[in-house]
Parts: sequence; structure tokens; C-alpha cells
Amino acid sequence: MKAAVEIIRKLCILFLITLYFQGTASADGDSVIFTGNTIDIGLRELAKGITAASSKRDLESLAAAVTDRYHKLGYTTTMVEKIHVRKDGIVEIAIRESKIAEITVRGVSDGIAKSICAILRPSEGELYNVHVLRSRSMEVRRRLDISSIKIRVLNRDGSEDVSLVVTARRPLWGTFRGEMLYEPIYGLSPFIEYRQKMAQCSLTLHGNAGVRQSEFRKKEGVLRFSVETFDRCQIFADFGWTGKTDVWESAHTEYHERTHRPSVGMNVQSGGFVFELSFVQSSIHLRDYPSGEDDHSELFVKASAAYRETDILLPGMDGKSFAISASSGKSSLLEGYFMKGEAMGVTSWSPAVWLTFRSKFIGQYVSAHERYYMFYVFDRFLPGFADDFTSTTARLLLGVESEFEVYPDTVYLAPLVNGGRFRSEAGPSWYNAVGSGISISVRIGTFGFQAVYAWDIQGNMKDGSFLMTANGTF
Amino acid sequence: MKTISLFAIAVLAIAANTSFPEGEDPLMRVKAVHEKIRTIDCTIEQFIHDGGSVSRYAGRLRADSSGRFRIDYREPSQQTVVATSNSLLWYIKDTATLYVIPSNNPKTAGTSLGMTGSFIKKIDESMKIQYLGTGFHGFFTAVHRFILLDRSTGLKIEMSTGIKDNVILEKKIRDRDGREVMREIYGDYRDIDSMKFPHRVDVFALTGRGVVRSISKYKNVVLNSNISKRNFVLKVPAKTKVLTYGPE
Repeated sequence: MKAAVEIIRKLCILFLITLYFQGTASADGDSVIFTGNTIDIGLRELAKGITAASSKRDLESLAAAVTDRYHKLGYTTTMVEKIHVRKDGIVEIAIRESKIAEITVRGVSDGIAKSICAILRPSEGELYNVHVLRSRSMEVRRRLDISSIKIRVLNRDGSEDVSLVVTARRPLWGTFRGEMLYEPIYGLSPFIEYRQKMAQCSLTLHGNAGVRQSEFRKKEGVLRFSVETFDRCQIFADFGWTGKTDVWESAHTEYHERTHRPSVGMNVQSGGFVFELSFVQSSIHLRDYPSGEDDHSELFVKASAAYRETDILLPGMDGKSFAISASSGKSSLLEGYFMKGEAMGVTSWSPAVWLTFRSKFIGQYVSAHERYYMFYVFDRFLPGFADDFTSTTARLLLGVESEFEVYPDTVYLAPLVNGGRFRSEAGPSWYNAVGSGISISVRIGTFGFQAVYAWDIQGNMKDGSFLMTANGTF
Repeated sequence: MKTISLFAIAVLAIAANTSFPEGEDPLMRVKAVHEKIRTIDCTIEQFIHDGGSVSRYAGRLRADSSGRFRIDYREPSQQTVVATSNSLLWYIKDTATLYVIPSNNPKTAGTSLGMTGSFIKKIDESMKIQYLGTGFHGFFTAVHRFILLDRSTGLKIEMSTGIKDNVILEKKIRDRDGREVMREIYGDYRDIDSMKFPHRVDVFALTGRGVVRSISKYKNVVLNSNISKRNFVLKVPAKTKVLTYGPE
């Protein structure tokens, strides 16, 4: 049976181009009224030419057409109850619309059951629609980490309404996401994230490290506990710990930092937008820092907004996304307050199915002239400048790539150019740097691999550097 | 500079035009182009890319303008698919099995050939049309843009048709929530007996397992030849096992 279902699925894919289309006649209506209907599905169009003088057969055909339209739209339990000619000569079509009266959820905790009900039937009195329910059950799976959901539709005695019996199952484990990156600053950097969703809350753990020249340059861990307060709004508490070795102008002048960073905040999701506000308190320990070994603390507030197109099918081909954040606070490393702002955006345009142009921009600014707060210029977003650890207080980066599909849905090749303008670490002068390169990507299901070779456009191609990423979700 | 300005003005004029040129209905011209095609006889090669795996199907396709079609697959094995007015039949010779998919299954209703003809026929019947004006598609091909609301399914179709050739170049299908669920890209149009015919159709569809892509390539295309009605009748051996994929 499983094989049969798979065969049918393949067949559906082979012929899916017009899967969704069905035709019905359309017309204008007159001398006809519909009762009992609460939604507009263009019923009047079906009643063209129908009058009190119409034959019984025509009236029955109209009733069948109305029921058929409801069914084709997914309202498969709604039907025409009665059709008759009133004394005033108007044809009345009484419709029995079928609502979702009750939902019973089995197999999960009460809290999750409540969340499932809220997604499947956001408001009381909703009509039963098989298409809408299918789409919402996919949303249940996505939002609540449900591995399987089965819905049985039962007629309620003495009523046109239906009851839903939902059997849901959650995986024992949450979602793992992993990435292995080789980047210019911290070297080989594994990243792993584990996310466990519960009824109204979730726990996320992620850790990453960086190994360069056989020593750890970075170790980082963040634990986030978040609670959904109302629809798509969460409050969260984070605890982050970082241990890093950074460089001061050259690879030979290194300093070490250890930071504990608890924070609290909230985020709201709406459409493709995510807004987040957080309050962060850090305690920082610096070693081998030019101003000496010392303990510091900082307190700042951070606001961010991110947007990602969520209603498109192929974000890699024609998607747009951007993220912007601003933070401000006080640090014992500085005299007075600091301000930090970052913006990042990516837009794609695909003139042909085998070619996608992608452009990105990054803008970063920090008011603090203190190395600890600065940005690296030649990081993973501006590769090709090996062993250059220049830092800056302001950076603007623009990048363009043209990605060719070498093998459908799997192998991609992309020449790329990145240009950066940045302020000198030491003073007010501005500098430019342009790197070019080539990227090869392999994407298989939820796994991906990308290798980039890039070099300074004014230098020698053989002096370039590699950037590699492998990631997957399981 | 003057040339650039004129070009920019021309681009803006095309992009801003949101009404039909007087006396012309671009959709009707698209329809007229597609209605010239009464039958199709060609070889077909289809690839399904599904989460890293690729399945290849190859065979012969015959179709007519009423929506019927028959495909005799040679690869991956001997299989025959026939679409009738009320069901889709798939016979697999190796397993002596016939799968029947009734057209009243909401998941597969209306399943028909991956061509534009059957879709075009329904535009008049059940779709509310909104003309969005002209714009560009792909490598700056000037197109008309439409939104078609399929009243019978509630789906919204965004369609681009070539101004020069009056052919469909792209369709994006959105569900009731406005989420794109399918994209069809028609390409490699070639002239066959003065008729335009796409030789490649890429389809991306949202499924429970993510986005699945199918690529259909058409070769040795013969249009408007006489195809006997008998081709659309599937005959199977007596002991064939029949499985019906009914409505949920």
C-alpha cells in the first residue's frame, strides 16, 4: 500500500501542472435568493436564467450546481437543503453550511492540544473546509513540531455541523541544525543548534566554536527559553557565554575575552516580519588587552527588525530579506554611551530557471572607538583577504553573484564580486577593497555544501583564500 | 545620456501601462494562439527532483484539445497513462497493476496534461480576470501581466504572457492565504508549422515534504496530426489488479 501511495504521489507530481484547475460555468443571477449562506462564493452567477417559471429539473440542476461549487471549494459537508418557489415568485435556495462544532485532540499534552485547536479553528463558527484544514494542519506541523497529524471528520447527530477528531504525534526529540564553516577570522567553525518545542514554550541551545592553527579561537554557547504569551508573540530569557581570541590590528597582537551575557526580551512575528527588543547585561573579562587585564560590564538595549518573504515558493530564486538592528547602552570600557547599528539585505532575481542574480548589502556602524566593539573588515562576507584582521568602526559592503544551475536542483556555480568601503581603524580615513571569487554549491534536500575561493581583485589570484560551509537540518 | 533617458522613459511607459491597448484583449490573443493547437504527438522526457532523488520518465505523448491524453512510457519501465473525462488511469505492466484516480478526488481533480491548452480553455468559464499591465519577464522580455481568480477553486493565478508571441511564459499559483504553492515556467518556445510550442516546462510545487520540481522536455513534436480516439481508451490484460485512489 505504501508503494502504491508513492506511485500515486509520483503520478501527481508528473501531472501536477494543472492539478488545481477545474472549470464551472459562470453567469448572473436574478429572481433567486440564497439563505443560510455566510460566505461569498459567487453563487448568483450560477442562477442565470432561473426564475419561478423554471422547470423542476432546472431547479434541481441549480441545487446540484450550488452544492458542487461548495464541494469544489473544499466545503465538502455543506449542501443545498431545500429549493422552492416562494409565494412572491422568488426562488429560494436554502443552504446548510457545515461548521466545525468541536475539536478533540489525542496523543499530545493538553497545552499542545489547545494550541492545535487554536490553529485549526482560529475562531468559533468557522465552516468546515477540507483545503483550509489541510493547509492549517501543515501549519500545525510546522509551528508545533508535530511529526504526524491525522484528522477524522465526524457528523454530529441532528446537526449539519461536524466534529474533528485529531490524532497528533510529536517526535521525542526536537530539531537539530548543524553547520560546519571554514571562515577567515576564527577558522574551522562548527555550529550546532537544538530546539525543543513544548506546549507554549521552547528551549533552544546552540553552541559554536572556531579552531584556527590548532587552537580554539572561539567558544560560544547560548541557551534561550521562550514562552508564547499570545499569538506569535514571545518573551524570552537568554544566557550566553563566549570565550574568544581576537586580534588587534595584526595577527601577532592578540587579546582574549570571556563574556557572560544574560538578557531578557520579547519578539513579535507578523507576516514575514520579526521584531525583537531585548535588554542585555554583560560581564566582560579581558586578558592581554592593550589597556590592561580588567573586568568590565555593560548594559544595553537592542531593537531589531527582520523581514523575509514567506509567501513565495522559491526564495532562493526571487526572494528578498533584510535585517536591521540598533543597540545603545553604557559600558565601563568606554566613557559615556555607545551606539551600534547594523543592516543587512539580500535580494535575488532569476531571469531564467538556470540563472539567478543575487545581491547583498551590509552596513555596520559603532560609535565606540574601542577595539572590543569594532567589526572585522575581511570576514566571511568579504572573503579573499587571507590573514588580514583589519577592524573598523564603519563598514559598507555590496556584493553581487550570478548563480548558474549546473545540475537541476543540486549543483550551482557562481562567480561573485564583493566590494567594501570601510573606515580606518586608526583614524577618519576611508578605504576600499574589492574581492572576486567563485562559489560552488551542492544542495541535497535539507543538506547543503558551499565552497568559495576568493581573492583581492588588485592582488594575485593565487593569494586568495577558501571559505567553506556545510549545513544540514535533521 | 539622451538615449538613456529615452530608454528609461520607454521602460517606465511600458511598466506603467495598466490598460489594454484600445480594441485589443491580450488574453484573447493568447487564447487564439493556443486554440490553433488541436492535437500534440511528441516524445516526452520528465524528471522529478524530490529531496535529492531524481526520477526519469521517457515515452511518447499524444493529446487532444478536449483534455484527453495518453503517455506510453518506455522508461523507467513500460507504463501507460491515460486521462479520460472522469479519471486518470495508470497501468504498470511489470506489476500488472492499474491505478485509477477518479476526478472527484480533491487532491487530484482536474489532473491533466502539463500543457497550457486545457488551462486556457477555462479562462472564459470560471475565472475572474484582472489585467495588471505590462512589464518584463526573464531577460527583459516584454509581457502582459494578469491575475486570474479561479472562482471554482479559490486559487489565484498570476500569469505573464509574451507581448510579441502571445504565449504563456510563467504562472504562479497562490492559495487562499496568498501563499505561492506552485510555479510553472514555460520555455524553449519553438515554431512548429507557424505555431508556438514550449519544449520545456519547469514546475515547482509545494508538497508536504517541501518543494518538488518536475522538468518536462518535449521533442519530435508534431501538431494537429490525426490521433485516433482509440488511443484514449486503455486496454489492459484480464488479470490486471485494479487499485482505486479514492477521495480522502
